[in-house]
Amino acid sequence: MSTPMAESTPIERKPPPGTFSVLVVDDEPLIRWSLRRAFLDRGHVVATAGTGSEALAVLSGGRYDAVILDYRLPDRQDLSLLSEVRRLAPQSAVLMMTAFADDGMRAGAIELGARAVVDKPFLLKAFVAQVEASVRDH
Amino acid sequence: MLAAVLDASDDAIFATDLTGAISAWNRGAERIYGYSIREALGRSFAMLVPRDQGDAVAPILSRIAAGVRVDPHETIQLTKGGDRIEVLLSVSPIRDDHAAVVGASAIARDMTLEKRAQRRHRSSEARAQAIVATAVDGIILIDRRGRIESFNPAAERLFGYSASDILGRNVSILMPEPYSSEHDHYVRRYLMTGQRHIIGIGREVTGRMKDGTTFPLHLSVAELVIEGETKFTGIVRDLTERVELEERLREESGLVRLGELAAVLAHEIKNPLAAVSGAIQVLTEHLSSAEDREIADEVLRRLDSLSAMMSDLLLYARPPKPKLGMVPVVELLDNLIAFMRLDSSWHDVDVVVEGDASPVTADAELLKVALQNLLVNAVQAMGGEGRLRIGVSESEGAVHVDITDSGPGIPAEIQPRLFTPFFTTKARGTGLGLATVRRIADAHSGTVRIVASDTAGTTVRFTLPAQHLGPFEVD
Repeated sequence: MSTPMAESTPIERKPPPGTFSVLVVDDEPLIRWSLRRAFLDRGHVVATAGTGSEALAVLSGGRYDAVILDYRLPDRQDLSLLSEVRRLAPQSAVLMMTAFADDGMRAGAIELGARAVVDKPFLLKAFVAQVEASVRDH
Repeated sequence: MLAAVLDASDDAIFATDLTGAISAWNRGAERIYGYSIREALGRSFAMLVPRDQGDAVAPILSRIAAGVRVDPHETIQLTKGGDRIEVLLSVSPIRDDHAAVVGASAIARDMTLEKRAQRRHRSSEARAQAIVATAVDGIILIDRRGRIESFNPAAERLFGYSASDILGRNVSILMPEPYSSEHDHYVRRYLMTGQRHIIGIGREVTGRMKDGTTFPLHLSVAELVIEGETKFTGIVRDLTERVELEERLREESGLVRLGELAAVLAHEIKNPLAAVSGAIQVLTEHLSSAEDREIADEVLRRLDSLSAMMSDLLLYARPPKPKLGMVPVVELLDNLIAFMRLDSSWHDVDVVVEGDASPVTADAELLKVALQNLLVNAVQAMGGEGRLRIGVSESEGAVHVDITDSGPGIPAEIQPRLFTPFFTTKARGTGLGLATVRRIADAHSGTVRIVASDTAGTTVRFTLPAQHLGPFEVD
């Protein structure tokens, strides 16, 4: 198993019944680590990526029920990653995270099919619950 | 020879006998009165006197007969053509070889042109005075020792002195220190060296009013010589409004930069905050002692308030464009207060909402933020204990929300700074609350101001136009 704070960790197994697979994309190792732990605690299967291109590479190698994207990544500072993810993995529920979103970005993300735009910082438990609800409804 | 000299004179020179019959008449007289010598000789001096002067000739002739000269005096005479002319007339006795008076010689100088010029001069002087009196700019005349010789009404308004108060006093009383003490020196230096520092240039300086208030003004000084004496005129223009406008512009351009900065900061700060907060949330799960968990919760609360401060800064520096809709103010207040009363800091506050008004066109979320900031301030001002009165009213197309607390009041000297960003009197406060309220009010073409504050409490009035946009422009 990879180290907990590694940049890119594809999943190695299928999620057990009642759980799902999620890809967390953020360049901040502590956020990847916390989200990973929070999802693992709920029995979900977690993969992580630190950049947009890593995320696309992970997505092309497997199917994910949920994708969580940070808005600002070292190689992406716009909604282009969201549209590519939506094209590549239309079956995934995509949620955006952001430390600062103006109204235009928020509306654009929803228009491109994001299920939600969540402000950082957030309560982990509430956020995980929101992702679970999004996957159920997707 | 003498006749030639007399004829060369511009003045009218003529002689009469003691009855007033004209016996001599020079060219000047012909020119001034219009009678040729032939027409004039033998006729009475009285033909030159207008009817409305009555018999002016008799008193003159009786004085002459008595040997008394009539000194030059201004009078009106009549020409052949009937025109009234102003002349300077002197009449002297003519004596024979035995010194007996035999007639009168008269010299008349036509003053018409001179009078006209004088009148013109007087009227141009009156015009100049009227200009000075009605000028918007203050106009002050001083002598070379700095003594005020003239002080127009605009200067009276600007400085609060009446002209009678200040004429004869040194102009330095219109300036704050150190200029006041230095002014005599400035004038002396100029008179000695001729070096101009302000004369003919003009610059922004500070004026001092009678009550000691200082204000920015533009001063231009001109040097002039009146009857051989050097004097200076100062023209002063009040710059208070312009300076205020400039300050406002500076504040606004500062805000644009602050907005850009805030957007960067928000990401750079909130992102690590999210990372730390997330990690602590995970770690807390594994803490076994209640005390450790309590500390971890406290750490999370601190992180939350840091994050909230960033949000305040963002809201202030980059307020979103209002999304307008019809907002029922009283309903919004009721909901907001019901929510805020859940907080323990409100338990000892007695809240009353009174009045009603038609809905306003506003962004409900922004309006909520503005009113919430005002309510939080009010409750904090009274230390969480007292009476909070919220009055909603409507007048002249505006809806007012008056928030009155029973706190100790706001000292007058800090009131003007209350809406300035980062000004705070609280131990823990960003100083952005009221600044944000003002930004939100501005964005809705509304206002917010302290309407009353004394030891019995403070009333803040938040006003929005009842109809910000036409009904068809509303979302």
